[in-house]
Amino acid sequence: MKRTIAIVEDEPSIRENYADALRRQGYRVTLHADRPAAADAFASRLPDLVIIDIGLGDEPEGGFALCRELRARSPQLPIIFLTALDSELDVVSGLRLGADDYLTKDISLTQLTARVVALFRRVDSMQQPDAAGTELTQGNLTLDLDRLTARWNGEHVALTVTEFWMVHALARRPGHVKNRDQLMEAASTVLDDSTITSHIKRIRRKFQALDPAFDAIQTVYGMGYRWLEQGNQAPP
Amino acid sequence: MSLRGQLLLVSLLTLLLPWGGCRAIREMESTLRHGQENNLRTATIAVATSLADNPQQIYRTSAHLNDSSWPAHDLYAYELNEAIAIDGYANDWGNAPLPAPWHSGRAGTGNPLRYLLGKRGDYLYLFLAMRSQTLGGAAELDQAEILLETPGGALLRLRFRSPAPGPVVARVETLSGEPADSDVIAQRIVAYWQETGSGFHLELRIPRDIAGARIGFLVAAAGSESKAGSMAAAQPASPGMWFSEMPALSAYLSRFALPGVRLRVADRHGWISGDSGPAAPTDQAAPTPPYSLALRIYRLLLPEQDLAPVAQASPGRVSGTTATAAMSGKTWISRQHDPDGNRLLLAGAPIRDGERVIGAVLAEQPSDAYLSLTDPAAARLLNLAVLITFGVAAALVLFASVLSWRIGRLRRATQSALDNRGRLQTRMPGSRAGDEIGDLARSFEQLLDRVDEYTRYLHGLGDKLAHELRTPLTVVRSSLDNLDLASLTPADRACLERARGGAERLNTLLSALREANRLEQSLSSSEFEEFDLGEMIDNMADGFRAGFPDRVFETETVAAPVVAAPDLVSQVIDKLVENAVEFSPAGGRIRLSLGEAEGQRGKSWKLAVANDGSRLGPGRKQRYFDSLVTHRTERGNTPHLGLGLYIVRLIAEFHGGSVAAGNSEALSGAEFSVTLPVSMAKR
Repeated sequence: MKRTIAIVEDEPSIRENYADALRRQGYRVTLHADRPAAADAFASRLPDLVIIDIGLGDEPEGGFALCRELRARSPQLPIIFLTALDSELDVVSGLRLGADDYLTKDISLTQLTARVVALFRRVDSMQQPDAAGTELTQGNLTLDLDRLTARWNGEHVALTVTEFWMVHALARRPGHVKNRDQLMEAASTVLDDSTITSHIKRIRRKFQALDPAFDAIQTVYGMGYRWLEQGNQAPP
Repeated sequence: MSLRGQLLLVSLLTLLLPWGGCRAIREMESTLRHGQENNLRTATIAVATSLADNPQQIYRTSAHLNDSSWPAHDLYAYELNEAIAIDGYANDWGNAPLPAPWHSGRAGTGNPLRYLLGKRGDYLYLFLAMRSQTLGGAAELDQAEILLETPGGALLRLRFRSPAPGPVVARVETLSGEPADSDVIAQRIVAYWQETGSGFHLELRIPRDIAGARIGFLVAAAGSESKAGSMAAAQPASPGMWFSEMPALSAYLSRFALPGVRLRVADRHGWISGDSGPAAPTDQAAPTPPYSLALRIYRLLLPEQDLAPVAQASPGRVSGTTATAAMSGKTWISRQHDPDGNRLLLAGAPIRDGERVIGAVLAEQPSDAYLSLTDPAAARLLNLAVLITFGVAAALVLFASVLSWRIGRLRRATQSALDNRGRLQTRMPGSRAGDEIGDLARSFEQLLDRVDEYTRYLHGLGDKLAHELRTPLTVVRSSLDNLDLASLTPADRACLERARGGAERLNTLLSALREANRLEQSLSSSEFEEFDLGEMIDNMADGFRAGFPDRVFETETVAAPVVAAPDLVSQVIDKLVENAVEFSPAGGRIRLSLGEAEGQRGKSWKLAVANDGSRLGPGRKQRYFDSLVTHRTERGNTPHLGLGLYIVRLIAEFHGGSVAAGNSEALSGAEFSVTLPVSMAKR
């Protein structure tokens, strides 16, 4: 069965372009121009994945409202924000509402497609709870490469797909410095320097919420970031 | 000159108040003095007028009035107020002044002699004291000779000589006129001879009915030819007149004398014939201690008058300018001071008998140095004026200070309205005041509000523009992405790549445009920590060497602990190096140096990045750090908005540091530097 992707986007050209690209990948795509139309459509049937723009027609934050409604109805539904808004505040608000990823419109269609594929893979692996996924263990960190989930000391860390890929890129080769370009490539996204910095900050904060002593991600100024193995502190 | 200074200067004008007060005091002083003088003069003239044409009140006999003999032989008899014991001692002479100074007598050559003449009731008293070293033997005795004119006009001679102390009896003989009964007269005259260690005394009492207008005496010590006395020793001796106070006149005068005023009447010879007695103390007390401060102030304000001393008169006489002027027929008033330093107001008026001046009334009144002080109303007025003056001056200075402080506060607020992060503080202190300074503060607020609005608009413009352009750009890019590569010819593909390149560049431009604005937003959420700036530069230089292989990076760093936001500082270094890379030729050198510097807030670190590209042109160097300013001449491949150095400046200023541009000394190109304080509290 074809998976259904709903795109809620008020700009027709962009909407159509995304739809074309995703259809070429074999998905069924439904298009909605504003929040009420989308809400009506979702009331009868939920799609398998939703891509939402934040500013919808007359509602500057209609995307947030829609996300809230959807998340209330289905905790598992993958939701991606795709927006021109990229301020720190918007990103945090979007993720707090339970979106699985937050992408800016700088992203290319290829990158968007990769993200969609990854999210579907995660959904699939979630539905087979017994199957052991491919796991990467690095000290206290365990990464489930199928489900795109991370555990720290056995506790689940709620990372977005982008964040997961960044952690994965760092943790795969502990001690190796990853510069910003490498991280962007690994996360298959386009971000400027300060956005990467805030991503790293957010990742640290998520780990620190579980373990206040967490400091495995170290900044190497002028170069990038590296993963420190437990007990293998870098010289100050 | 500051406003405070100017207002202080203006407030100095209040010093005119004390000056005016001083003038007023002088006026008042002068008015009061005139009043006092007028009062005294009027009183004096009134007394003089009441005595006019009535010489009997002043002269005991008409002989006294008309006497024109040698006045040096005249004597003055004090009105004695105590009974006198005839015992050869003067200690009971009471109110009479101490015996006049020793003198050798008007005759000139005798031993030192002094005398007292007094009058009480029906008797005339005489006391003689002579200093004599020789002790008389029986043959040579001390002797005294008294010439006395009887009311009848006969001239008597009384001779005393005594071999021993004790009562003596005079030998009386009539020199001229109708002979008198010598024995009776001798019996009526009581005399006492007293020897002392240094001479002898003779005290005697003569009934008034045998004492006429004239009396004189001559005394000779034993064994001495020369005589001392009140008259010439030559024969025939002529006694002088004796004058005395007229009790009736004195009583009359005391009725006229106002409190504090002493009235005296002098006859035409200058002898005092009436005296109201020493002035009674006045009601107006001398300045009391509470006035002493005021007194000191008035001494400063009012000139002290230099007064002539009161002329010293011999006993029973008057003298001085006032007396002289009154005797010559003029009314006179003057101020003088007595030997004790007390100030006196003296007035004199002539007493006339027809056209002839027969005497003078002299009035004497103690006069305070500062009349206004003794006048309670004037004193209150003065004290009030002084108080008000100081009060007004203090209030003006206070007002000036408050005004100056308010303006200063407004100025400081205006100066600091734009904070380090480029935000406007539009609230002004004191804008609720209703006066002109409040208006000014409100105008500033309005102005700043508008500037703030405009600044916000400008700040947001780039972001808005970028945001608005983003959607069409996304349309373009996603459309290009959607093109089916397989169906394109190679020429089409090249065309597509060029379109993608253009879209990519547009995207980069838009990102850069938003970067500065986003940085401003993220400044507030940045976290400060302590780290080593030198180490950071060394680390980053390694990264740069890898990132820009066609540049040679040199570093010169020291250990530089600093408290700052490391992300932001690394961004500064990034931007400075990016800038240097753009301006240096391939293979060129880029030099990062870190050293200590003195910043505005104490110890600072100066981080400089120099290149060996072209040098900076003349002009304001700081402009390179402004938004959207570029100093490039040639256009490169990468889009350039001139925002890099602007970001550097934003971050430096956020840390309380500063930026500078110049030409490098070590390398051939430009050098851009940032000065960061060692420690800065996060704001």
